[in-house]
Amino acid sequence: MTDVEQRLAALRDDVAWPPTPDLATPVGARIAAESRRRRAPLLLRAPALRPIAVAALVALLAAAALLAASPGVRARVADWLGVGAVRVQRVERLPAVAPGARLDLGRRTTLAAARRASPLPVAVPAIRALGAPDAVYVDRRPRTAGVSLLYGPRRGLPRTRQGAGALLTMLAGGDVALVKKLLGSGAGVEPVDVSGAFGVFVAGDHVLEPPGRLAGNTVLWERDGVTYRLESALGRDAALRLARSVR
Amino acid sequence: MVVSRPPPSEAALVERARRGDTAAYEALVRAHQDIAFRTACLFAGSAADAEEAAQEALVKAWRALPRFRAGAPFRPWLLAIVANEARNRRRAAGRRAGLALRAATDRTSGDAAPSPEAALLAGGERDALLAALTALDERDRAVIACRYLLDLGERETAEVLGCRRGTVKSRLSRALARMRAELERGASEEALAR
Repeated sequence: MTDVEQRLAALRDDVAWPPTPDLATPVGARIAAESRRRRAPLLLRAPALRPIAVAALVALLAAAALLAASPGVRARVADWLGVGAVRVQRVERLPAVAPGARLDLGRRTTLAAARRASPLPVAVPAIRALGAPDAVYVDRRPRTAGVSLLYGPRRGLPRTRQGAGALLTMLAGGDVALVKKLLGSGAGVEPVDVSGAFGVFVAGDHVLEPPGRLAGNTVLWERDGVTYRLESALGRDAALRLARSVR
Repeated sequence: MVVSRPPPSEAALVERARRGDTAAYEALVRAHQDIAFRTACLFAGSAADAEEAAQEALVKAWRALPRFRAGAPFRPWLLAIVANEARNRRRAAGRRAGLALRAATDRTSGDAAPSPEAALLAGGERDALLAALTALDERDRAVIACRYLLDLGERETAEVLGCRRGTVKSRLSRALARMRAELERGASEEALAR
């Protein structure tokens, strides 16, 4: 080895490389989403057929929801429903949760930073109808990895039980049942179409697990391997308008 | 007696990933993310570009896994995809120079102790070496950085640079000669300035 080679080899430990970012988590989320898409039924995979398939599914579930209203059939039909990484489940009695349970959304960051290093397999969107969020959080824990956008209450956007105007949480990766929504008798579920994606509107108080807190009206839908959860105090139509402006 | 199961070998993880096991592939990425990111740094224009390029390349490698030859070494194959992605992105963005490498200034007490060889290099000499390396053209800089800074073998360097092993040898020898000349030029300029 020549002198220059020896000095170069000695330099190896002294190069100030930029710190290595976590690549495994976002890559894992993206490939898991791709694998799920590959496994999706053919009918839902073809872009041209997708809106028709979603509309048919929504109609079918709406009919099932009507049937479920009759007491005899109700017990079984709406026992549970999976939307992306969220499992919506009917329970006899809601688990007890502390009234002031925290939102527990991960670490606070900026929208730009969340977009640079997001655990989502798609670009981080925003709720166009509301503009820039008031706070942004990134969660890198395996079960709840995702991004949350928090909007404060304002005119036309009443305050939720947690003091927010709207909360959009996007969950990355994972199969169904990463997060549970437990519905008591006071909450209703209605299938909805969010710009061609199948979703549900959950009306009324229910429990979100994790973190184990009470949640209010929520639109839930799945697109391109990301599960979207939009919580607000708005009614179905206004909440759907917000959900459809997520881009 | 408690018998713990040994961790799966890299070959076993690669085989599982080839069959579609996303968790196995994530484990492979975690094992190689340091070297993959540093490889991207050599060819990308900035640390942020290197991160994007490395992430994109690792997803592309997952899609290309069915074409990976069973039993072949995994790391050089992966690093070649990373280097290619970082290089293409930088060229598409119209940037000529790669990320400028810097020497670590102060070691904090939490850092690993420097190797005995590194401890012999004075701060000024480290800077002079990196300046001479940065002054070389991309091909020369890449072959030296792969061999000495990333500590890749000849075969891995050949895969990363997309050339034959023989070409790595000849290119390295010419690059080292140019580096030596660059160092001498820097030293004489410094002497004149005194």
